[in-house]
Amino acid sequence: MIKINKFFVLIISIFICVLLIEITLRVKGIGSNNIVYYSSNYYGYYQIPDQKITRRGNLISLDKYGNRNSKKNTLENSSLIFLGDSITYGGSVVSNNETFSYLVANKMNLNYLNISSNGWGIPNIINFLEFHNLYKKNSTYILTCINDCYFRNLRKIEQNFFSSKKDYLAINVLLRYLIFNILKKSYSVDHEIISEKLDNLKTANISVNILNNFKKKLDSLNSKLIIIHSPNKERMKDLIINQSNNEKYSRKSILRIFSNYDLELVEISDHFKEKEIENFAHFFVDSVHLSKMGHKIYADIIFKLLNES
Amino acid sequence: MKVNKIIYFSIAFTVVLAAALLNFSIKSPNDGALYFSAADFFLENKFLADPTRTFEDSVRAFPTTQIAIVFYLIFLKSISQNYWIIIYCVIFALIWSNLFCKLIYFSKKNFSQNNNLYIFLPLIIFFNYDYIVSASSFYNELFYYPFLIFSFLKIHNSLQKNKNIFDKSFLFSTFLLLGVTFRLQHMVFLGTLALYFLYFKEFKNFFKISFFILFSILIIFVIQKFLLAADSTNIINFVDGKPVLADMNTHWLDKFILILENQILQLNPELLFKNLKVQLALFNNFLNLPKIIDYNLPNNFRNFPEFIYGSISFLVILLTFLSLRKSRFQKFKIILLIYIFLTSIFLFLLTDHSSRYFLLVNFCVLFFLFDSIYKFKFKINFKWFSFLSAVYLLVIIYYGYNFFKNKSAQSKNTYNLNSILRDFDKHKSKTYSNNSIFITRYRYNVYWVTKKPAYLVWEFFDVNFKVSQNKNIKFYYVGDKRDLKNYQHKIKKIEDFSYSKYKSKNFSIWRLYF
Repeated sequence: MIKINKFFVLIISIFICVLLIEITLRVKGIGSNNIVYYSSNYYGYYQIPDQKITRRGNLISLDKYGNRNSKKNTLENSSLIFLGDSITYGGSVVSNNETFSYLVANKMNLNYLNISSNGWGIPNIINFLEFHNLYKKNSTYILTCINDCYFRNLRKIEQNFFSSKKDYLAINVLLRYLIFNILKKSYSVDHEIISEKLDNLKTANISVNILNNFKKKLDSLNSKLIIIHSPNKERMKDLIINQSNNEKYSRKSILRIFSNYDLELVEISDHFKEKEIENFAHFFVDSVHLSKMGHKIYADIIFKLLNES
Repeated sequence: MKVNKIIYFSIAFTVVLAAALLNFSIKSPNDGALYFSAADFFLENKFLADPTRTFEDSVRAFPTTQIAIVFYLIFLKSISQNYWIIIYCVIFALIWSNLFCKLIYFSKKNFSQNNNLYIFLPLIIFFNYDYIVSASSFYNELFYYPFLIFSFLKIHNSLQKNKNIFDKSFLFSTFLLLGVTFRLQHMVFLGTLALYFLYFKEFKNFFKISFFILFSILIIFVIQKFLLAADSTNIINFVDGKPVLADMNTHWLDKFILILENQILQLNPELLFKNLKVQLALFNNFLNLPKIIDYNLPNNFRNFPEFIYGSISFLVILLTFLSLRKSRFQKFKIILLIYIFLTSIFLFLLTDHSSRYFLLVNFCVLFFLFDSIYKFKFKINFKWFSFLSAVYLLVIIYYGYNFFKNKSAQSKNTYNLNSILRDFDKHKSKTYSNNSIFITRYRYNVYWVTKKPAYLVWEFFDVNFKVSQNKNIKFYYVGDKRDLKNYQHKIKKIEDFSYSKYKSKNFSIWRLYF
């Protein structure tokens, strides 16, 4: 009898602990409400189409291809095609109608496609367009990327912490996250064999070369490519002090590689007004991702760029 | 007794730690920012200066001879850069746990014959808003206030036992000797004792105290000499809308006299009338009233709050007279009365006041108050104790509410100012270019948040305006743009540079273009 009681108490205690962890995680916004992805050998991965979730009070709605734009928008009726990684995608920090892609298109009264995904590298983006044949005449393609985008190469779903199906328990997400990080650590690069800097530079070379070919293809279709470089906080700090003390080598090396091609890289931070530079953290939620204000300022700048061109 | 001490220690430690931590979150320590930053500056540069006004090419002297707290902070920070605040709070709690025991003993012995109100004496002395804020904001009052009370208790004890005040008086003498490095107001205490000894013809003690007075004056001069030696500018003061300058080679004594002269020049009939009204704060500071009602009494008692303020003050004065009519503790009462009187004269001659200047007479006023009512027969129960404590705390809560609503009696916009500065600092990730210059009347707040020195408005526009010709420098003005009205002709453009929700149409961080 005593043994049963002890066992019962143990079970109840475990259950209560699990429940408390589950509640805490859900309060923190971790849980079943996440976007799920599918895997592709050709372009790595993408969001599973036709999803609609509300996370942290923001709506993420995907069309029948997995793009983050209105379901009414198609390649045929859109002339603005936004490409990129998590910066363009926007994550759960903004709702669909707060992403800079939406805001720009809305200002221009045009339809648009937002073809982007968290963690994508340049090959992911271009391969996705090729696979689905998303080339269109007389259109404007706007690629917005951070430094990392050029160093990622073709990212696979396993390299990110993504789900391919809904997690109904937040604790499941936590466990998977722990296992993901343990495995990630065991796969870390062996620096004795590969020089990290050289590896990154060669990858960035490949990325820019891919972009160069992509631009040529667009040129032949009378379409335009605008490549925007999205800064990180270190770059913004440098802009305040008018020096390059904080930034790592990455942006400079990308600029150097770009100078070897007939490609123009638009430094969006150069279009920030002084007041915006001085208060830059209002536009970021972390070191690279944009806040709602950040999306708005990007929209204003891109709108201006499009009008000028 | 031991258990009580532990309780007092815990309360004092918790209160001062919580209040000190507020400096790093929602408020700024005001003058404490000067002491705090001067300590850091000293540890880095090995000399004392005012970092809130020191730019790369011009060092400004530390503006006061009340430097003891700076050296205390230097000492603590050199022991531990990370945990000095804990040591700071522990020492505070140790002092107050001892003083609390002494005050309860003192109060119970002298005021508990017919009622148990005596319990409020130590509580009111400790839980004074000005004191808690001063102590937690690294002001000299941290030590000066409790040691002044220790001294009053020691004097009372000596008089009761008919002993010489200077018997077994190492700590007391040390306080008399060094008190002036904490508060210039210490001269009032020394003067009080001198007059007392003279009145009662205790000439031996009078000579002793005269030595302390001369020594204190010497300390002031020596400190002043060394402080002014660090200054590399010609700025002295600002009187009647004009800067007062002195050649850099001017002798330190002449500079000192010039400063003094300018202080006196600023006294005018209007100011003196205001200073007369301000004196009432001496009699109600223990209730924290000057924190919620403007002690300058701009409406001359013609509105309800000022009427209540005046009535309470006059009631306390009346009770003080009632106490004086009683025969016990006559000698001690004379000392307290002289102290209040001299403090009043001292404050009357000041050009600017802060409610904490009235803090030091709290013990004297409370002594008279408790002495005047000690014969009243009644016992308060726990319910009444709680009620009266709640009423007392209500004043602090009301002040806190007004602070967050930017409506406090003495300083409007304080909460907004700190919030705007913190927002600016946070959203720049604490990144400041070397060529940015702040102009503000709130330079302690600016320095506390940004760690950047600032020019006062007149210092910039009237003395250093040539700096504005440098096109590489970014100029920021922090405050109400209406305060720049006298300099509008010198400014090309003013641009609001804040995104904070606490800014207003006029009060913000502004970029100035020349």
